[in-house]
Amino acid sequence: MLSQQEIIMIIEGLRDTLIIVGFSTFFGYVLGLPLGIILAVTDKEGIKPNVVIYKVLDLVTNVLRSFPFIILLVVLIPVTRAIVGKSYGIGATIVPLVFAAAPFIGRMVEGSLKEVDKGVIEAAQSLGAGNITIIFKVLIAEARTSLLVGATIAFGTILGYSAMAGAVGGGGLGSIAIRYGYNRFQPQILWPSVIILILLVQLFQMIGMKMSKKLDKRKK
Amino acid sequence: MLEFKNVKKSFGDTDVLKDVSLNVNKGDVVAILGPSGSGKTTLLRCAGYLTKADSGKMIIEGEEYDLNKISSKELRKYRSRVGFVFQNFNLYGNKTALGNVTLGLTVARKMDKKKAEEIGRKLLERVGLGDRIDFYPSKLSGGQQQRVAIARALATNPDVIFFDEPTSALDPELTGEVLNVIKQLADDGITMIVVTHEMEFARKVATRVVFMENGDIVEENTSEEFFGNPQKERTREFIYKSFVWESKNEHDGSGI
Repeated sequence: MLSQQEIIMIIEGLRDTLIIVGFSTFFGYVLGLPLGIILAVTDKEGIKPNVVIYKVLDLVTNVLRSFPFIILLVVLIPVTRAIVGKSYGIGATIVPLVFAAAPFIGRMVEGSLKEVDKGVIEAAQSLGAGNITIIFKVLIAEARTSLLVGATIAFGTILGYSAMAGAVGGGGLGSIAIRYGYNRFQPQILWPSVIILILLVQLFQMIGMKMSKKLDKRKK
Repeated sequence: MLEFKNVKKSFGDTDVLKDVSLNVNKGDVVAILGPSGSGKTTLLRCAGYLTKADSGKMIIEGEEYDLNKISSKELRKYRSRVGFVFQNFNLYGNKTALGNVTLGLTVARKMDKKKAEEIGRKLLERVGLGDRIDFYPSKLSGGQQQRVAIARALATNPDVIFFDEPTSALDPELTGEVLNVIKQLADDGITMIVVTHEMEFARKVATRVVFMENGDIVEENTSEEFFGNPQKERTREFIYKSFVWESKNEHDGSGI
């Protein structure tokens, strides 16, 4: 059985996980959403093609996405320090997570927006809508289901990354599972932590799918 | 009132439009006929600034617009004068019929929502969809969707509406309801240019017919003259072949 102390540790781990993943997803979108929009818009098939902008962002996105997360985390230590003042703890975990999540989210957003039927964009153009209007009133409105599914996937991925946050003392359930469960071989801590993580992903997946289904008016 | 002037367009080595010019008067309903690949849809798309022409001009009410190069301000002005109806309707799937019709008014015209909805409601009634205002496109038949698209094109009160094969994606039995709406608009004096394969429509509703092939206009005439007294051999052949199935069908009694 778990001691009271261990239960408290797991509950605090859950809280830390939610804080880390919540903030990382939020800031990941703050950077990733504009990134994805610009990628989709400046692509050669986009509404405002621009080879230079696209290529530069494309490269940056690919480079960031290629870094193994644990290495990114170390490389970014100076940046992290500059932003949150220290290189360990919850705040310090969020910074590299945002850098890992933003390009990933950017790609998802780009993909979602590119799925929007070209004809629908042309229809908006023929009505005299400008590019900004098309982005916000047509692209995002028509792609909202796909964007939401993307957000659900992003959440799960960031949750997975957050487990590695233990490397910088970030805390959270994943880190507890690794430190106590794996390194010290304490399965009574490992399994509850992992099961809570599974339930968390399940829950968010369910909410995401329910919402996207409700928002999707395109199906018969 | 409307003039296509020397419109040229090629895709790679293929000249899709070889210097096409066309005059359209106010209130005219021009049917553009022609075999697939004749360039009729490209002509319409160039005129709607959906495909960039290599060269050419559009003149509307004396205002000249370069089809190859235009500032965004000019383009906005041009688009406020021209409506477009697409083969595949291109409705916004996440907006209701009313939302589709009012979008051009609220976002491109900055009209307030209430006023836009009032106009939208009237237009939907005009195309016979007064009882489908709050339906999403996925709950409407193809014919109904196309009628919403027509209402959407009408909303901004354009000088001319371009129709790109408006019935080609429809079940045969839904074609009539769309053509009837277009006929109604013709009776109301709205200037329209319709790329179509519907010969009956061209004959009965259009005031003028343009026959295109290989990127050129082969023949252009009033609808009556075009069908009653075609001038070119190729036109005669096209008309004959388009109607021959129908007439044979009447005589052989097979009922197919």
